[in-house]
Amino acid sequence: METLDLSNFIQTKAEANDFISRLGFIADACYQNNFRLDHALMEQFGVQKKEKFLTLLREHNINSESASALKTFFTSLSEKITGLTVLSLTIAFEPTEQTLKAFSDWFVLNLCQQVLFDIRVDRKLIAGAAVTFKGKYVDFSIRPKFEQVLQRVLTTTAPQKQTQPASPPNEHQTLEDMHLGR
Amino acid sequence: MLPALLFQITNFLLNLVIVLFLIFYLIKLRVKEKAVEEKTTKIDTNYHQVVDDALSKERKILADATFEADKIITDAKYVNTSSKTAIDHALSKMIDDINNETVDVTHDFKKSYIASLTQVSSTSVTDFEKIMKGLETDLQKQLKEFHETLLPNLEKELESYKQARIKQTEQTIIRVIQEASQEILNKTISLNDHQHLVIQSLEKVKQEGGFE
Repeated sequence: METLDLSNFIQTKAEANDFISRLGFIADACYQNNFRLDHALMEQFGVQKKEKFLTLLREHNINSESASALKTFFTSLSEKITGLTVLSLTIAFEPTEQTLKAFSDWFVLNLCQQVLFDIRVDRKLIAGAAVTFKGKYVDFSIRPKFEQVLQRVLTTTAPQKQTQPASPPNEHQTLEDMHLGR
Repeated sequence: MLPALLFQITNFLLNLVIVLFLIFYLIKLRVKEKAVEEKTTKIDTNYHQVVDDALSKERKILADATFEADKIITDAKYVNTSSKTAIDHALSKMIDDINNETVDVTHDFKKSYIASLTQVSSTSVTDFEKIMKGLETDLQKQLKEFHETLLPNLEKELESYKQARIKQTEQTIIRVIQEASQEILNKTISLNDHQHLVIQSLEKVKQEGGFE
């Protein structure tokens, strides 16, 4: 149970909350007479996730006919999800499901742990991401660099403007300043 | 035989006594009734007499009141007519007097008004000339003062205001350029590049130990 990867089911904090509530619903229905697990999974998670969930049950040797075993598994699953670390990620675009999966995979691969994303979209970041993790905030977006560049451009153009003497309004136009056509 | 006779005699005597008593009682009752009838007749006679007296007195009072009222109305009519004539006469006299007086007053007022107007016009022309001269001098003085002190200050203030406005405009332009550039750059980057840049950012965070 410790190496359980739930990135196929949940990636964000909101998805995790929804998943837990749906699990709770199935767990409550376990002891009913006409309870059928595949029907309940289909109803709550849809076709794809149902298959994945059934695979998960097989991988953990859970007897799908035993209501008590199912209930225990669901409870431990909910506890595991509640214990997952939440990473606040501010990015500059609307992420797709695949994008979130890619980010989630990166964490599993590089840090050997699954995290839940609390995604915020701020287009002023331009690109890259700002991360808040365990109370620490780091901004590795393009915005700080862009602002530096902009400041540099402005400071280099500002003195030039000052050194150029303003021509008196009544002065006649010289031949050098005259342009014909384009 | 003797007791039975005695009993019958006694019985006869008792019956006689009862009959006599009844006759006596009826006679007395009749006498009382007669007395009551007499009393009623007497009261009735008195009542009619009182009512007749009251009616005759009322008629007399009414006749006296009517006579008095007629007299008062006649007197009042006389007084009304005579007073009306007197008031009319007094009013017509008052109107005549007022008319005469108004004509006199108007004439006097007209005379004095023409006189005072002539006087005022002669004095105000000279006063006006004086005031105009004073105004011209003041105006020239103020104009000179304005050129010497106020105008340079005004020019200076205008210049500083101009500079502040230019600075403000420059800041606005920079902000607009910044926001527009950010927006444009954001949109020109593809989804794959965005994703790649985010993963690069995550790697930088990892390198700096941000995930520990």
